Amino acid sequence: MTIRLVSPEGRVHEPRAPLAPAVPDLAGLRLAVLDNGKPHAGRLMTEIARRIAARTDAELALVVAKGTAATPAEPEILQQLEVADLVLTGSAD
Amino acid sequence: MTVLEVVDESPETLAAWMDAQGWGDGLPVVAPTEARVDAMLAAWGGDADEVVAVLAPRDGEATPRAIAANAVMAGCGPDVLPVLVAAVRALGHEEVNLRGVQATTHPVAPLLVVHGDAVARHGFNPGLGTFGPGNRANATVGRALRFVLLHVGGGRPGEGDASTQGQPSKYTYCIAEHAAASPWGAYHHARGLDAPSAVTVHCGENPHNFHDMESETPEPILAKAASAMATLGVNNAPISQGEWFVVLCPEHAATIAGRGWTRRDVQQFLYDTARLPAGRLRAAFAGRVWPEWMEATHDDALVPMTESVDNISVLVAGGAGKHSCVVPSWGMTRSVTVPVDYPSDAR
Repeated sequence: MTIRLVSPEGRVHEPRAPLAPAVPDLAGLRLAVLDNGKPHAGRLMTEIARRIAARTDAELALVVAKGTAATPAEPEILQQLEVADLVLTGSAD
Repeated sequence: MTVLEVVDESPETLAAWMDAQGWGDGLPVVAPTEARVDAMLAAWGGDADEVVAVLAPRDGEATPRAIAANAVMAGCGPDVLPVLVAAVRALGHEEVNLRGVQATTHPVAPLLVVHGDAVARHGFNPGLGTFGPGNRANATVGRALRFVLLHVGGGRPGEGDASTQGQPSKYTYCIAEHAAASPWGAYHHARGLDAPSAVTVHCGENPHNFHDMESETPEPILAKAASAMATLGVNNAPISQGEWFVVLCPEHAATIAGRGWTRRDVQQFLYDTARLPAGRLRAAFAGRVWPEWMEATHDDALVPMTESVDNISVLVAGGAGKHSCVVPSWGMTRSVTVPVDYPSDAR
């Protein structure tokens, strides 16, 4: 005999947007850095983006910062990022 | 509705089952059997599958059924689901910024405050030791809310929750307002909510105690509260929109109100007194979220530990004795107060 238990997780809501497909080759693409506001995040990610660009023939096209790490990027920041093919972000402390 | 099966309800079986799923807070749980969950939903009386809120970062749908499963696991009695549904509804408000609350490296946990008729109806303890152990409603409702954040919201340490150290209030963090001992009436009424029962969520740190055993006037008591607030060790220092909850014990509140002070007077005194030199704050925090008028101050100016007097909330809870506390904010979040609805009462 078994006992039936109700899952405490509930259903996952419909995704707000699909994930972008992986990029197989960076050559010729425009990279951007979204500084998420964490200390040194912009410096670290910009250096990483420079190295990626040097290795792959991509171009570091833009570095922008959002207002704070604790809230989503502002619409005008997202609009600026539209020029990029690939955005680096997400570094923590 | 997902249903899982176990061979029995022994603590060992349940612990292994929880471990296998990656669920729980590490303490023993009650098995969320269909019978127990159904009993809680029957007492609730509303739509069991209404999406009360979508909880980040997992984007899980918090329905009364899912909330009830967590409540059973946390050890709640079958009657408290309306309080939990209200609490989850409050956490779903955009201004709470639950994605940030759940995911940050800060130890933030939502403090749940129960107001009005719900306090006596469910047996919450608004008195001696309200923040502490010994009362089923306080302990289990706070724990159930954490379970909802873990399981529905996906705020598991190391996954959806990046908190560097965590804090004890991530286990359970629920108190009840002692409105009968408040000289200023119930807190939710002061926020303009005319409901018999309500809950408030304030996402912040553990409470910071202050005591004053001897003062007979408001200023020395509240100067200690202000001292506890004026520190570099809180997010309110670099994030000026951060709120403060000041939970006064009944004796402190009586002494303060006995000199004719209103709730607003308390807020204003703390706004005026809890201050640090702007230059000291600037030296400590290169990254600040301050309004222009605070940034424009010279280094010697004393700036408040929150940018508005309205960001200081005052309520009464606790029992005999002269200990009160302040609860700092995570910062990029706003407290929310909502009514507690009882669909079963309307039938």
